[in-house]
Amino acid sequence: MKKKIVLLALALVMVSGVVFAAGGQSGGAASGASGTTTLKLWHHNNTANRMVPIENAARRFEQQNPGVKVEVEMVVNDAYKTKLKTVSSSPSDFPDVFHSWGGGWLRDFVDAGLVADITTEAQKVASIIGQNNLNFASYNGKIYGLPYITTSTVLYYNKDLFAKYNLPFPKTLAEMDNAAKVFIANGIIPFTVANRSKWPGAQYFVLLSMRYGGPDIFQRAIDKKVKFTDDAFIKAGDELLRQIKAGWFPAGANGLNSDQRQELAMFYQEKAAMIIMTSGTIGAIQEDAPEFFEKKLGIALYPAIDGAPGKATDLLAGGNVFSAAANSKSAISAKLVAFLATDIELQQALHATGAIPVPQTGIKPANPIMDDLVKQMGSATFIQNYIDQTLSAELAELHKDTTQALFGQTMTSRQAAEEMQKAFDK
Amino acid sequence: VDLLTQQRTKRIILNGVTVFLFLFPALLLYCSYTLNGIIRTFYFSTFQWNGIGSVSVRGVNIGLGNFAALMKDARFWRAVRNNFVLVIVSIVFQLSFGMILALIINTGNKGTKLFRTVYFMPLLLSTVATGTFWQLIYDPFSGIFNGVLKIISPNKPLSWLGSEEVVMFAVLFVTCWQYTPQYMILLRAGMTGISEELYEAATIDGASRGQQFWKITLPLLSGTLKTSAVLSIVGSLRYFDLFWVMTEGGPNGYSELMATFMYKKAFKEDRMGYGSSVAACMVIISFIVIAIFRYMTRDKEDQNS
Repeated sequence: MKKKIVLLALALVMVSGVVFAAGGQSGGAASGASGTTTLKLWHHNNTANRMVPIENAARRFEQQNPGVKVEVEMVVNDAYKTKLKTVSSSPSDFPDVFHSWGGGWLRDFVDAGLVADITTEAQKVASIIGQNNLNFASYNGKIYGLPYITTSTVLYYNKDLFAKYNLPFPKTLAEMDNAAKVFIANGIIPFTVANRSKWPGAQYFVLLSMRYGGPDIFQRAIDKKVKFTDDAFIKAGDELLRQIKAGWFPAGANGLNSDQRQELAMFYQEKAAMIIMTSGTIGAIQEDAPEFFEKKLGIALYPAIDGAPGKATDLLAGGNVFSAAANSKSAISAKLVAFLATDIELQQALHATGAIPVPQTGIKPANPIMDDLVKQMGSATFIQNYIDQTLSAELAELHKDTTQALFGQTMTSRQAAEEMQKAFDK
Repeated sequence: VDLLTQQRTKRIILNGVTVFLFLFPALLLYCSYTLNGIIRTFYFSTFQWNGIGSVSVRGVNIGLGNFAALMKDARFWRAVRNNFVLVIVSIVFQLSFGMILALIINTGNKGTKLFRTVYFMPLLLSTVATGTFWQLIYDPFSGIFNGVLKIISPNKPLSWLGSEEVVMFAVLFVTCWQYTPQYMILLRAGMTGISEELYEAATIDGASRGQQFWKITLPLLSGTLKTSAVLSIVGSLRYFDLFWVMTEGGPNGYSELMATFMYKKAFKEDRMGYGSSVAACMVIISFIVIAIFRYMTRDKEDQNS
């Protein structure tokens, strides 16, 4: 008898496990009692200094809008993309307000009819955030999202090293070439790059292409006005290969991991003089090497090339965007999106983590470097959205693969360009 | 008599119900996740679909179009080749080193307990931790490996994970380092099951240590060896984690495996249909390889059982 009870209990435990596993999914989606609207907000910012301000901003929005409850959920980067895609087939699980990077990735969701058109709500705040900030998620003249964080590609350099060898910061590529020669002769690598994840190295190719072909060269290629085999891309590839062969970058850069800040370590140890990364790296440098940050770090523009149409002030930038889901709650969701883009308290807190403020006025610079960066953005002659966000996901991967092959010197610039064009034509 | 048979049938039925009750939860899980997953993978693989929205609305059925494209995809074939290299390396090196280590710790000499613990340690680490610290060991500038190499040939840092020729060797070495202990433990467990009397008898008959190994240990371990080999083949064909952590299949696809290729296509490039066709190929290839292996080793199994 005793044995039977034990067996029964065991069976119960096993069965209940299955039942709970199946039942667990449905919880949480239900909206609150009558009169309250619950908005689910998903984002991917996994550091406390960004999570807490977003959470606080949600509370402020609730106070301003009685009857609205905002549930904030954080999911880390790659898992975030996968998770959002997974819930895209079941409307009840899809978040009401969600983070993305705009560009081609969000466009797939827009095409699937999952994202609300928030043009009217966006136009209301256009004077606060500026016209440039409306472009991160606009397709066919309609706006599907507003940035809450913007970042840009920044050239960081070690002021001490340039002073030590009496080098003014180069204004043209020819001057940069001289500086590189001096550094290499003294055993210092001009640019450090950790290219395992491929996008850090691709930035160099993108900047060179924008200098040789003019800042809108990629947009023109996407619009089929020029080909990906255009002279500008070939020249950019050839120049990059020349720099690689001349030793501008660490040997074996393709094996270094930027998530482990292997390239930044070389920068702090003064084994390398410069690095091109996004502005989010400012926070990382400040955290890793506060003394270096204060005394030696400077930011500059990637030099122009004599006789080429691109200017040094043509910048690369990108945004973290919030969009509203296309459902019965999209009007209030759109309001939350606009709120997050313009809330001064949230923007000030995010700015302290290396984000360029979205509102054009009212944010105090967090430190001198951020001040320089905001000025850089203010005087930009052209802002190109990050290429790997602009291209379709498939083309973006190929773009990164081919530039990584350039760094490995296993492809010529023409081969790389032809592969891009072939995939684009498909 | 009638009552007796009645009771017996009752017991058989009750037994059957009990067996079913106990198997049911596992069966339900197996069907809803594994089997359902495999069937849906094959279904998805016939679509051109980016994974957003439901497949029946957003997907375009292209029949075997994904498979046709896959057959012409050089990256995929490199991944298949790399998987088979991994299978061979796993069987040849991991199993044989595992055997050697198992023999050493099985001697019962002084200090073997310590070695057993030391050798076992790599398996206890999570793969992500293993991958991360081996990346640091392989670091071309501050890693240990190049620190040693620098003494031999200065000024030429070798990029272990960044070079297309070297990357496979570098990661394969780590997989061996990580998984050899697993086979050591399996084989050693098999060895403890062999009766000591057999060795005593062999010693009395004047058999040397080598003869004892070839004539007693190896034949009696064949079952364990076969299980280990199947584990190793299946594990290698669907291997993902260490390669993903250390190289993400790079540089330029030179350390790509089928699983990393599938992940990239399905989740990074948003080609869920194409990625599913890669997954479907993995199922087919694994099935064929295991079928062949089982067929080739079937005779010995009959002897054992």
